Amino acid sequence: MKKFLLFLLLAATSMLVVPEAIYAELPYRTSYYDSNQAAWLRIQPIYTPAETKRIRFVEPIDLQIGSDDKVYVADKGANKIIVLDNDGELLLTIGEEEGDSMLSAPEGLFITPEGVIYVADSGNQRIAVFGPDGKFIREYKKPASSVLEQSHFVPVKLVVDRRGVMYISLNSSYQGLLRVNGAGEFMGYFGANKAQQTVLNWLKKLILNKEQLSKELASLPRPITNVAIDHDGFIFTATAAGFGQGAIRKLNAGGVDAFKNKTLVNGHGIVDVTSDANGFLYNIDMGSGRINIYDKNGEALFAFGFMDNATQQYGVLGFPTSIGVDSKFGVWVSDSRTGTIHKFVRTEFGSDVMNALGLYLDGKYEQSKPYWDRVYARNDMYNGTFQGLGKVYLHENNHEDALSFLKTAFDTKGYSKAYWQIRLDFLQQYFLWMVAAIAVLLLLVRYVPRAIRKQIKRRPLPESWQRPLGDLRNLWYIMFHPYEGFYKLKEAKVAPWIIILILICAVAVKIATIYYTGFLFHPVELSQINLIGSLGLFVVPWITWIIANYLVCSIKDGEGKFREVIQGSTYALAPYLFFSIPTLILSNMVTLDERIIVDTLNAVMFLWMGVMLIVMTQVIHNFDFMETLKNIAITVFTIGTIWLFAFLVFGLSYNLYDFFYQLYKEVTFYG
Amino acid sequence: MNTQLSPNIAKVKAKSQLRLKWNQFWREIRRDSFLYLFLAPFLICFLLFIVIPVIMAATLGFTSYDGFGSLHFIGIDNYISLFTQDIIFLTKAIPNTFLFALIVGPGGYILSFLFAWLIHQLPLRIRDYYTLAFYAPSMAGGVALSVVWIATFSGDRVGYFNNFLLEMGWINSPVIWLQDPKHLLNIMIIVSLWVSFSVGFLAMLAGLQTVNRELYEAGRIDGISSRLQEVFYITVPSMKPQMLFSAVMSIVGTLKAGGISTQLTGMPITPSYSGHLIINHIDDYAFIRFELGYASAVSVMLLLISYFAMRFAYRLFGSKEEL
Repeated sequence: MKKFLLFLLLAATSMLVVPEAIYAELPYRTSYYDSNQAAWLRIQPIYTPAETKRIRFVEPIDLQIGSDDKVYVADKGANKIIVLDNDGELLLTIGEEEGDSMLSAPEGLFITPEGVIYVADSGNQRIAVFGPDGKFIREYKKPASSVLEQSHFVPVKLVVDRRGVMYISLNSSYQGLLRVNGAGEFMGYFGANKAQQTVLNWLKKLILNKEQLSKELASLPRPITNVAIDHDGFIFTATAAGFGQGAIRKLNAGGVDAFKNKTLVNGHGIVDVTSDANGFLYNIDMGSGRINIYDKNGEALFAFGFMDNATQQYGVLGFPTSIGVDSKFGVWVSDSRTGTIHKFVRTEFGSDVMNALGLYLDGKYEQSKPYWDRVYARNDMYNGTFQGLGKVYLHENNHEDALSFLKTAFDTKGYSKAYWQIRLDFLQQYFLWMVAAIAVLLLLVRYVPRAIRKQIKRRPLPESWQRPLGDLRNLWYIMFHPYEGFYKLKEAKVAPWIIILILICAVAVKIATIYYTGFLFHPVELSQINLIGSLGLFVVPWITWIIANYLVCSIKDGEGKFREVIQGSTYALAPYLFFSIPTLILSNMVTLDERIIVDTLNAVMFLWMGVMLIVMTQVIHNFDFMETLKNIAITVFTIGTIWLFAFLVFGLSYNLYDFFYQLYKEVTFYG
Repeated sequence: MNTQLSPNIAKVKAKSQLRLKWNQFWREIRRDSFLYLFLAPFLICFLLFIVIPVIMAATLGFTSYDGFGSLHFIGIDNYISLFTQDIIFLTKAIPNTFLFALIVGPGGYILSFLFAWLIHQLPLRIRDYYTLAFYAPSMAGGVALSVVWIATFSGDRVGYFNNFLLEMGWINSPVIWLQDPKHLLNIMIIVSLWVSFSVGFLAMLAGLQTVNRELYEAGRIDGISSRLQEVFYITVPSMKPQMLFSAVMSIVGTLKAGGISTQLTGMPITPSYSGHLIINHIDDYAFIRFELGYASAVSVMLLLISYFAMRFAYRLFGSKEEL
């Protein structure tokens, strides 16, 4: 007893001594995009905010990282270009009060690898060029060209390629980037967005005449909001509209988009884009309010960060204007609302993940393996690991492991490949046995029913069994002779227990298909299945169909009684009973190459059931064909109405319940 | 002694019975020899071009033969490797053929019936022209294929289909339809549906003309009220033999289709085997790799598949007496 007390006391003191858990949580969530499930899922931080010297800016609007990791910021409000070192320490300020180097509302800048600074000096309507030391070198005014006579020259963003050709984004210009060579000559427009061509526009063009067309609102391409250039010389343009279609375009020297106008996930309001040395894309999206990381093919990988109008918090952005990545993969973001520059650095996990992904995307599966293993050690919930390691195992011909990993990652394509190999191995090993088994099975199918029939003939079943058995046999007959079958059904009264038995079988089959359909055809986590919901989706339409069918047809002079409608609708489920089991078995045996088999079976099953329901309505209610179709259309409409009604009633009565419940709580609180 | 004798007697008896039967058979043949003379052209052709090649293919299927050297009898090794080693056959040829046959077979069959029925509704004067117009594609075959469809699905921006899509603004850059593994099989299906109006279509058209017109009037008296019911209750049952013939023809047609991919892409093997059908596989092994034994084994499998498909068609459309 004493010992026990002592132990308790010790335990209590140790509880006091151990410090309480303190959560050093970041002010934002990091998530990764699982392309197999098309969902964003939470993950531990890839980037954390880093401590920098907090220099106040007036309105930092563009930010670039030089090749020497210096950070260049264009401060539109202060009319200055500010150069910081990699820790945020002020190095240099460019822009005098007067003279050639006076800047007026600089909105964009570009740093060449040699350190020459190009500034889009929008207030002075020129491009100003400064040396690495901040000395003014020269300026480019509006190029002399008859094409440009009409337009203003208000440059806002620019990039310069290796040859010294400038790609200038003009203020709200829909013609694309203005291309000006090193001598200041106009070389044409570049990389304009595509105008949205809709079917409506096409129709208008067909119907309307010239005068009417000229009054129509022209469908202009969206203006380019920002530009960037990557290490290979590809030019990225960001466009902030259009639900992610062509939000980021990767243009080659000919202006052809390597992303092919691709629709990007989280690309509704891209502000700025940049790429790191490994080709990953980083962008800020005002639509989702986050910083996104894409791979080099424009597939979403990670999203982090948070935007808030009244931010006071470190690491939360107010109104981000530009993004840059330095050589150590640090992400810099300029924020014009708070007038600051944020720096985010990679966590250890982040650099492991990004290294693994980089090697994986290059197809260097073996080299990526150790990184994946380290990622796996830190997070065994990240599906990217399973995807990556699964592909590695597939590559190493380790099919069993690949199968389980790719299943966890919900990668049906990879799973199919691995499964195919396993199946082939199995086939190679047991080919002769399988041929023998199939032969035996065929013989059984041929002769066992005959034997049973003979047996029955010799010893007939008792009289009371004949009718129920006949009713059950009718289930098979009705599939091939629906007209005669349903007519028989109309004359006869089927015992309720048979109907219930058929319905129970149907529900059992449905449950089996939910849980045992092959992974390739039903890629879900079994524990995530909402059985009641899935069953409800199966049972409720059937019940509403019966009710609606009976109600509609009895008004429309149908002869069918309620009982007959129930009988008929139950027997119409026959194709479902007979098709589902083979489909279920096949779905566990075939790969995606052969999925047409399962899909065909399913399509045939549903078509067959539809035909059965149509024939049922026709025979039971004694309609002619067109009348049947009309009545079925009305029935479907009625089903919709019933559901809407039920939804409204449930919603409103929940509100009523909630009202009284709140009232009750209020009363008990004060009373 | 007795015990020794009795089996001998039985043997003699059986022998004499056999001889009796044989004699009778021979007598009948001699009696009807004139009829066999009439049958001879067909029988000889059937033997020469059907029975002997099939038997030869079946035998070759058990050997390894390159067309020049000597035959090696290797048992069922060809079949075993077909199902356990031949990855192209298992992953490409079978699924592709299955998908192709499943859509083109019933699809072409239904289209044939639909158009035969529609053409049959036309006045007699213009019916023949429409028939010709519909039948022409399958007569012209390869030539029409390469002219019409290659121009339509040409991969540059002047190809008809690309041009149309670009004009509508639905695509941004021309799609290389015929070389892209994603599209090739679908295009093959479309083209095959177009050429599927062949002998089966003609048979159906002929079948529609054999339907007794009086049946329609009788049906109307019995309470048939719509054209759909006429088709279902009178037309289809009356032309069951033609329907069966057409079904068999469409099965054979879809299973032996394979030249289409070669004509469309201009290559013996389609890009990444995307349009590879069983026939292409046979061609590949027989005439490119000269593994005639293996190719024969594959063709025997194809024969078996078409036999079972035919059995299925007989079950669907054949009347009970024919089974």
